[in-house]
Amino acid sequence: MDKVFKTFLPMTETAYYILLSLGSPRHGYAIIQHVEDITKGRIKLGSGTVYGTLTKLQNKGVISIFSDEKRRTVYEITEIGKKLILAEIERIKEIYENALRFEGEFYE
Amino acid sequence: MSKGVFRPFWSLDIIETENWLQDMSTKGYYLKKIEAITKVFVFEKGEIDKIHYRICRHKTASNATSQSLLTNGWYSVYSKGKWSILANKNDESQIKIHPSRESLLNRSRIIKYSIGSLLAMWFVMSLMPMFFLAELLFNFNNVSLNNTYMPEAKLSILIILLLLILLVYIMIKFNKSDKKLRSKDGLDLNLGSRLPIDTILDYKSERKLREDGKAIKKIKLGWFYSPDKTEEWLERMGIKGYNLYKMSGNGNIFHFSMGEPRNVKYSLDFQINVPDSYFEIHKSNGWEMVFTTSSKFIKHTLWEKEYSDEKPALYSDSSHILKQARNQCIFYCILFMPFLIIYQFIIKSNIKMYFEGFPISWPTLIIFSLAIVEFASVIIKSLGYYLRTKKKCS
Repeated sequence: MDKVFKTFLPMTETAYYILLSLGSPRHGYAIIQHVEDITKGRIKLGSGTVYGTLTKLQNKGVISIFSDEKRRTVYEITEIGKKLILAEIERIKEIYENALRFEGEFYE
Repeated sequence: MSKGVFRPFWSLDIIETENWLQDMSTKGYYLKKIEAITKVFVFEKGEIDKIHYRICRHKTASNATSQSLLTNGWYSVYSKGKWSILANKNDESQIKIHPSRESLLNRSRIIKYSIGSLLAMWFVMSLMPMFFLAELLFNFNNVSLNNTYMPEAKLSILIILLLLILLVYIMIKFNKSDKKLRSKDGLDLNLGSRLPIDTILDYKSERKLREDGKAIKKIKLGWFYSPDKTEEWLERMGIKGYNLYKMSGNGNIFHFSMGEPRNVKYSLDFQINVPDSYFEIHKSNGWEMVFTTSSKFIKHTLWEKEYSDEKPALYSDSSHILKQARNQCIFYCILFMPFLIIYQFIIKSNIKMYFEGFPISWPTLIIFSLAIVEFASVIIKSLGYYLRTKKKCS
């Protein structure tokens, strides 16, 4: 558990958005689509990057997979994964709050 | 009332074991546990019911069953280490989702590859000594020798042979099991390469095309090891209107047809021990597989994607590209360095012997030298690729 936190926190933007899109189980392609949607086209993930990240997350027990009716691979977050993304969201909230609090100091 | 059944090789054929567990359930025997050391399956007698079983393997030892599988009626009956057995009492038509077979296939790939390497190594190293020993011990030529001597050596040869037969048997069994796993639950992936030309050409018309200057053939060796250069070359060919439509099975011949200039992004990817989901994710994202190496373990795969405005990328971030290049470089260094060291040692000692006046075998020397050149070129190419990528990324 602590080891997983140490490996992944703070998360890269790619890992963060991939994990964030697993609020419900999704196919690999659906993850790419969802991330593009919620970032309004800013992040277009390459499938190699997604495959690499998903493999790493799976090896550490953050996500798991199952097969759907058409035998396609579906990715799902595990209990450990849920704790991990919540910890990351807490960190990002702090960053966001401090951004609002101090951004005024940088305006001319 | 419980019942134990000894089943030592249950993990060699997963589907067979699953079917057997289901048969047992229709006779009223439910699996309770597996004795890890004695390989005894312990059943408990209950009401007759049809239960579907799935044997699963997890990547990590903590294997809480996935939420989606639980809601679809799957429950864990046994779990130990990376193994677990899930069961489902629902009717087959109601079971929409299944545990993935990926880790099982991964495991058998690793085992098959290890046994294969072991056998190859054994074969190369001990073929000649085995012949000599067999001739000496079993005495095929000289009947006058007392052939009862050294019974232990005979016994050891027999044991070695039995061991080899066992290893080969395990390999064959795994191969069969993998095929069953794939045909029953695997994704039906068309893993063959694709031909952009609609009509598949026969040899004669293809030759005619080449003679008319409508197609060309290029021979290129060792292109997997410098992906960046290969990609650039293929992309330049695409812009010039040469469309790659076929590659030879070993990947050394590229067939192009003359056509309209196209913007095609090529991506040559290196992976070790690739699951089916690798091909699935790239294909569903619009990449087409042009070529993949025949080895199931060391995979160089060439992907292409046509584009109009924005150039697509298999890897959207530079850290992954750099990691890929580093992995390839480390892998080939570890694989070939020992051979390089041993071979150059053999060559050196041979040359020394030659100058001291001993007879040496020239063909062996030439083969070893060629091998050194080839292995070194793979290492140098992979290293060059890594250094170029590093420069580009920083």
